[in-house]
Amino acid sequence: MTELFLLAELADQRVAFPASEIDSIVDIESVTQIPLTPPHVVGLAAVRSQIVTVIDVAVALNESPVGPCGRAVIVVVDGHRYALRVAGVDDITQLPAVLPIDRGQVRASWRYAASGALDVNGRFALLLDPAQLVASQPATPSLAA
Amino acid sequence: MDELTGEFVNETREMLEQIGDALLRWEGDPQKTDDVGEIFRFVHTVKGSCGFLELPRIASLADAAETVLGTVRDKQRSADGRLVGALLAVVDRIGTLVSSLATQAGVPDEATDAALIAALGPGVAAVAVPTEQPARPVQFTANTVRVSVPLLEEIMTQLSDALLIRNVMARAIREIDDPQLTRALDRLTSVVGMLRDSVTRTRMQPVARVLQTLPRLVRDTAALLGKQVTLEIIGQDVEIDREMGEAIRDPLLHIVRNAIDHGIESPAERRAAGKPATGTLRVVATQTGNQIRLEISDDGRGIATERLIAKAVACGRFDAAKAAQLEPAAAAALVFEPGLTTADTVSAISGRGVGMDVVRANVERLGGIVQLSNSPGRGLSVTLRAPLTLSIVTALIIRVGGCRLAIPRSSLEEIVRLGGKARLEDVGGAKIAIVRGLFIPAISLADALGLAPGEARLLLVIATPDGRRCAVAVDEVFDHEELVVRAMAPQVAAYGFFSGQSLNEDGDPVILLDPAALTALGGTTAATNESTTTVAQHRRIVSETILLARAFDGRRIAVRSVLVDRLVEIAPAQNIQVEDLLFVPVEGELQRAVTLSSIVSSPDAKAVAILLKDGVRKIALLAESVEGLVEMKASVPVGRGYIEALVEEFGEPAFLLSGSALLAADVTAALEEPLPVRALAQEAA
Repeated sequence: MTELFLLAELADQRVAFPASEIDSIVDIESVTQIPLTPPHVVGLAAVRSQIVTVIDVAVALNESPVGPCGRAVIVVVDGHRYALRVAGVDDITQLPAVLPIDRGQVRASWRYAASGALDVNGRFALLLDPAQLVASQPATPSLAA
Repeated sequence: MDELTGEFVNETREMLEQIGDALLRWEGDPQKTDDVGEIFRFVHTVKGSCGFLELPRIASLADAAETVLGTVRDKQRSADGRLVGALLAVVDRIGTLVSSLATQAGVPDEATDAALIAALGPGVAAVAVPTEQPARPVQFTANTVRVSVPLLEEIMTQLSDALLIRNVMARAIREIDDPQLTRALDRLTSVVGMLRDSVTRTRMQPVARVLQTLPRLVRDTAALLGKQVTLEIIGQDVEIDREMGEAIRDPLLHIVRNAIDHGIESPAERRAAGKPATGTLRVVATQTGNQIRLEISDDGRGIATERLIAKAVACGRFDAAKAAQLEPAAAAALVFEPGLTTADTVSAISGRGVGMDVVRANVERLGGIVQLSNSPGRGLSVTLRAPLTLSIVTALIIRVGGCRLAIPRSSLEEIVRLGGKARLEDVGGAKIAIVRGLFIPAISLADALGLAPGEARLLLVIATPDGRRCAVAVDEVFDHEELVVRAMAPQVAAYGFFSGQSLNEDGDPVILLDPAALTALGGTTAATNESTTTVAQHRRIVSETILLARAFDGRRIAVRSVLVDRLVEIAPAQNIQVEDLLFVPVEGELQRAVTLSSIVSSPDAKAVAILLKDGVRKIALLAESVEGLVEMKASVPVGRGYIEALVEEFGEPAFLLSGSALLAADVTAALEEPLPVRALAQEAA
């Protein structure tokens, strides 16, 4: 059984999202900042007359911010629309299986959002769970390495 | 039940609601036949539909009613109370039968139909309409369709896009001075505006439609139970989603029935309790951002918590020890437990204690909550809160600390420019705005939102339906806009300051502030509202605002804020004492001062001078610090020396000082301490 995955780039790491959970891919041009939001929530943007909450995925993973504007993956979690900001979006690919994660492959602060590993023509890509990224409890370093 | 019958049931129900008021009016004055035409049309329509759908019982009843109504309408017969009652009974039977088509339950015995028809008086035969097709079949075509909500959402989004494009075009066309183009744009604007209103109406309706059945329900229920009840409805214009309206109808009706059955006492009991014989039931609808709030309050006996607890213990829900520790709010909430009822007799309408648990479950299924506010002996208030998937809010766009936000216009009392009639004071830790001599607690929105402060030039005075007010300083104020407000993502909603998100006219996202969050920050507590009649009275409170402060000996004191001119920070070291007269320098002048006890005199001690004046006399009351403004409901008279009363409702007791006595202070530098009162306060501490 094969499934489709969207491949993207983030903090020098190849990541992937299940294509079934993605609404669309857009370029965010301007973001309205909202006071009193957690650090990974950059603000609100309008995409085709619909409001999306913009999430800086790098910040959600405790990395340096990718910034508010740029390419983003639109997902719907619990009825709310989010734009997941990544460094770049590569391709959609069909893969036969999701592999278990080997601890050494994943940085500690990424683990809460990692839902599997993918082998893309011999290269490793980390499968991320959009719902976890949106809720974002970046793992504290106390997680056993 | 097939679709045509379903349409008939819905339409008939709607028509019954619409003629509800007409029926009540006619019953109130049978001689006044203005409404007869409307009621006639109802039974006529029903009769026609029945012929087409083969519903002989309903047809028979409708036919009889139509005949009689026709004679009344044509002045061939005069109406009296008995006839009106008989007709209402027939209309009710029609309603019951129509409902039973949907529910398949509770169908009254057919034999009783004849009696109802006979009661309509002479000249009406209780003959069933023949069941074969009538000679003139009435065409009954449905004029409603069922549409999926996601499709309506799409239409709404596409329309918003169209509006934005129209705005872009408008800006460009303004540059080109072409009259023909401008005229076309104006027409486009007008049409698109109407289109938007129409699409909005597919989703929304005024809550009045849901509340339409209440007057009749209250009248009937009260009559059935021998109670006297006045119903007040406030907020009929609040708009809600149609889906939400339908869903909330049943819980609302149940709560209203409960209020009349269990809450409001019989006239005799009420008189014995010192209440007016007629009870009051108030239903208030309000909308904040993306929530609708329906508050149903009565002035009845409230929930008898001791009996509820006793019942719960008797049923084995928990043991007596745990029960004794229950807080009043938790005890009142026991009413939501299935199967518990404190009613001694089960009345015809409220069932067997299966009520509030079902109500709560239904409201929670909608994503809403039910809250109780119980005053045993005085009444109960039940609040239903439900989320709206979308709502239209007229909002003012403001700028504070570089951030653009929206605030609902309904919460704005006024906007004033700072300087001149309005100023902000930050004294002794309390932020206060003074607008035309009135003291209003103020908050810094920039601080509350963690923004860098801008240049506050304007003051917004905000009021919420619970009677609280506060003043908010902002940098700039733009236009009013009609915003389509939707729920925010939980990550944005977490702090509770915002009540929704929207796109403004330029297509940029804007977040809507929740006025209740702002007035809650402000710190005044609302006084209970005594008045019961109009909307205007509901919104405004007539009670006393007092300024709380801390005297140098640590006691809490208070003065009526109407007497306070302003607050000034002073350095007691600069005070001048001449024999037993005390003076403080205030803005270059020496002001006569009094203090409740001697001042702590360390060189860099700070104090506050509360400048009191009554238009003629002036005095400075010295205090260590100022706590803030509160609205006082009640006080215990003392009348000793300068202490007029004791105010106990804000935690630690405060001594309300008599303004007139202070202003008359002539020669005393320190006020006498009335010892008995002080001793009492110490015992209480």
